[in-house]
Amino acid sequence: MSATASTPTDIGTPEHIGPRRKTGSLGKRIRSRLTGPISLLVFLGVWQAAVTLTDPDPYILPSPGAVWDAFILAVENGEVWAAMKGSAGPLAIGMLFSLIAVPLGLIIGLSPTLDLITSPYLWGFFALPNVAFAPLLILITGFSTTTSIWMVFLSASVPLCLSCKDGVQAVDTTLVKAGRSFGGGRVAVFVKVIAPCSLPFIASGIRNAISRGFVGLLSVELLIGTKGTIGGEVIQSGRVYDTARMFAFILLLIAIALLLVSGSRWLETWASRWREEVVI
Amino acid sequence: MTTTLQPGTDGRRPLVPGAFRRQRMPHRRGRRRVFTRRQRIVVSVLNLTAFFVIWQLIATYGNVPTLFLPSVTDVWQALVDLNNEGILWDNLWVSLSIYLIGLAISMVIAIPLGLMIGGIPVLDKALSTYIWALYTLPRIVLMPLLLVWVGINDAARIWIIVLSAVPATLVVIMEGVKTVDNSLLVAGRSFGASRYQLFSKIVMPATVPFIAIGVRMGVTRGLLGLFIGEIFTGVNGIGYILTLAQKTFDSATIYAMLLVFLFFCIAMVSATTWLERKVMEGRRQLD
Repeated sequence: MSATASTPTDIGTPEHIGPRRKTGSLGKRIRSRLTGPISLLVFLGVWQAAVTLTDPDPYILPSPGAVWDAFILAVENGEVWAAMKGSAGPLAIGMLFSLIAVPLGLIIGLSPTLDLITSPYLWGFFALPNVAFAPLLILITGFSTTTSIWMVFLSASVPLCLSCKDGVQAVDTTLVKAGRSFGGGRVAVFVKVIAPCSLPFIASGIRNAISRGFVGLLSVELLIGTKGTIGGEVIQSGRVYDTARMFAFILLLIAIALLLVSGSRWLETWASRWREEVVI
Repeated sequence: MTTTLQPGTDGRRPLVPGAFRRQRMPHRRGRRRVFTRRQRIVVSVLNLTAFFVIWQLIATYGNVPTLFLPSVTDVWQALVDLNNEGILWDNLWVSLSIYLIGLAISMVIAIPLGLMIGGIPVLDKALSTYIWALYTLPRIVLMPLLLVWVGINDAARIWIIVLSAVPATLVVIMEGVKTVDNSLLVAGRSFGASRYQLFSKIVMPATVPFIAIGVRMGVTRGLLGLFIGEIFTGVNGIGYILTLAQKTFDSATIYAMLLVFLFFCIAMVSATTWLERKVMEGRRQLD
């Protein structure tokens, strides 16, 4: 879009502020969509070239074709579906439980005293890599699904709580004051001003929580290595030196992680849509 | 009490004297309570003391198995025992040196590479997808691969630290270079600056804050990498103590090591913040 063409929202934006958001023509948009697949193809090409040129031991680096065959075999066995089901259950349950953190975070954000009391624990929990709890949890709950659920809950709830708290504290005080001077009571100010203002923070907290929870789940699965979960399948195939199968499951994991991240990023932009309009 | 009219707070008197006298002054509305520094410190100390006391009470009198919740004194005893047996400091030193080596390697790779990728559009187009993919990827997925390729040893831990810290630092610096104000570059170019001069005189100084943030990101991500490495390759270091304690169902030692690791993290992060402040101060003096 040229600099002179202006949409109604652009009125009053000084020229020197910076380039406008690009909407781009259809061709440009298609090209930007294509970078992902193209870089994937380049990656596969480099991988295949490396295998053909150096001819490494298949235990060290299998060719892309071998990995694909292993993947197809695992799909036909039904192992892939079983593993995905086995991993999705604990993740979903743990995430559902960790939604408790949203109201808790909002309450902590509203009360400075509560914030002062809880913040050392929350930040301590947050600073410690969540993998750190894995040995303790395995010790306490044993090698079971409960361990995974606990791990997802612990890793996801703390960042979510902190982010909700930040959201409430970041609400512009002038907005709150304006709400009050128009006669809003505590409840009305909370529902109509504070909650909508902190919605983007809640959304980004949920995004963060999903990726954190996934990492927590993975760490438990990889440490325990039970069959029937994706991480477990990776470890099991690593143990028998079936590297092609291990690669297949690792790539599956990567694909799921990227899907989760992009899905939750979409959620975040959706929730903070209104904010973008104001900021432009 | 929804509509409160505040009697003239900023020196203005109300039109009718005494008109608002019967109204209670609104208490603490419209403004958050702010604690002073001293209050914060006192409350935090009390808070932590209460936490440990309650922990101790629950562990002693509550009907909780020691496996779940060892008492504070047991945890402290475990720490003292580790120290007496000479296990603690040796292993801590091993972990620390591995961490510092990994971090040094990552910074040497990440800072120049980030500046290059941010400054050269072709490199950015070619590489940024992979870097973002590596950044969003949960690092722990790479651990089984590293174990197959490198083996269970110190090198695997250095690798995982580098793989965790580099993308985190890289994306921040890369994006930082792109935020350099275009008008500055145009001005520099119109005054006849060469490509190298543009880079060293305009881009570099503008990117220093981003480099600082990137280093901090790298430090925290590197800690995560260190811990992943420690847990998966428990041959020496903190991971060795943890693995040993887990096998012998010694939960007090695990709690103790978690506390040690927490202090390790806090020390690393505050060291970075301190370094960052020093660098910033030095920079201001140069100006």
